[in-house]
Amino acid sequence: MNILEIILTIVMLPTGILLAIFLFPYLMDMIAEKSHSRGVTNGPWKTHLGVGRKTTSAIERSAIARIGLGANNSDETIYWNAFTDSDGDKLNSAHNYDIILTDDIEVDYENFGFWSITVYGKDKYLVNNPYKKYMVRNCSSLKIDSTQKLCINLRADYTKDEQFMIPLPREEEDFSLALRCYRPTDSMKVKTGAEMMNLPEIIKIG
Amino acid sequence: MIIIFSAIALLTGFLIGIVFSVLRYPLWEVKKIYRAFKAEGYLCGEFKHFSEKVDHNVKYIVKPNCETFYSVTFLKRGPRVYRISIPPLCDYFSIAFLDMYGNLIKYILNKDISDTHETNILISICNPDSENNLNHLRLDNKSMTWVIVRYATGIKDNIQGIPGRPGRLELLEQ
Repeated sequence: MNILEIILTIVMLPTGILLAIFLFPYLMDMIAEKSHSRGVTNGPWKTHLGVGRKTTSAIERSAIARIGLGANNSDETIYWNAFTDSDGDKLNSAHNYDIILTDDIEVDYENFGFWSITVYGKDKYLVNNPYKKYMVRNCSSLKIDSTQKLCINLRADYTKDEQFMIPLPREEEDFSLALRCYRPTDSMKVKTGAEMMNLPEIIKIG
Repeated sequence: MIIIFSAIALLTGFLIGIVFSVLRYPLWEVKKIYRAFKAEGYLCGEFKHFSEKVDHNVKYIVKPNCETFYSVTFLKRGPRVYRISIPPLCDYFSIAFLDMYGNLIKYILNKDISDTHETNILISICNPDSENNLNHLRLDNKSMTWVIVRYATGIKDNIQGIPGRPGRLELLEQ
């Protein structure tokens, strides 16, 4: 190597390091998207049971830090996300949707557990609407089973506020759903249990 | 040859940077939060209470949740002891103690507190003299501790939830 090659090597090495550090958050966005295809899948719902745990891999912990820093670990809360409906089509506010529950979600109501479903816009923030309504939350008093289904309406063409309606973006855009389960039962905390349980269906309406 | 050496050096640097970033990224993000916390004038051990429900104007964090209120603080490195006073609560409540990488150390949950009277808990951080007795929480954490408190926003039987806050909790260094 001549002196020029040595100098260039010395310059290029830290340049590569700095470039990696600068690009890293964007790489994490890509990895976070990819990580939805790993972890646990149940119909259109996906989650990662390694949130907040030291035993999770360093890459996954970085991706989780990007999208959910400070989130509860899976003993306390399980965060399910949906980007598609139950048929696998991307969620988009050009359509309305019904979220159908034929079974209650398994949280420990005796210990103040509860669940909620929240809509997020394409920018991953809450959706602007005149009612400041962004989610539906359940508590123990609402009975849900195969004879008493719960239907949560996602509507872009809403004209009034309704108890089980969540507004979608008025403009046509992709959106996502978050199903947060606080104090999940033991069956939801393990992969096989989480994969098998009866989670809400997401049905496109028109 | 120059181009090849430069490309190899650039790629090597890039890979080193990626590995370094993977290991340190969570710490950088928590430190960002800590700097913002201090910039707003809060001290370690002093709670910042987010008293308003999150709405569509909140853009400082992606995917904010609107079913819990938050209170956050940071605790200095040990050895030191704090006393936390928690008012009576009869809805979802949790206090998460995290290290500066966002890994969970310990929780205080509803089962650890009373729903009829105030609960006082001693929190000792790396204090070798601390005794493991009732209402005493020991944190073995060599770095600063990030504390996140969550309270449900609604009463038990209300589907949508109504705004409301329990009495404030207090944290005092002993």
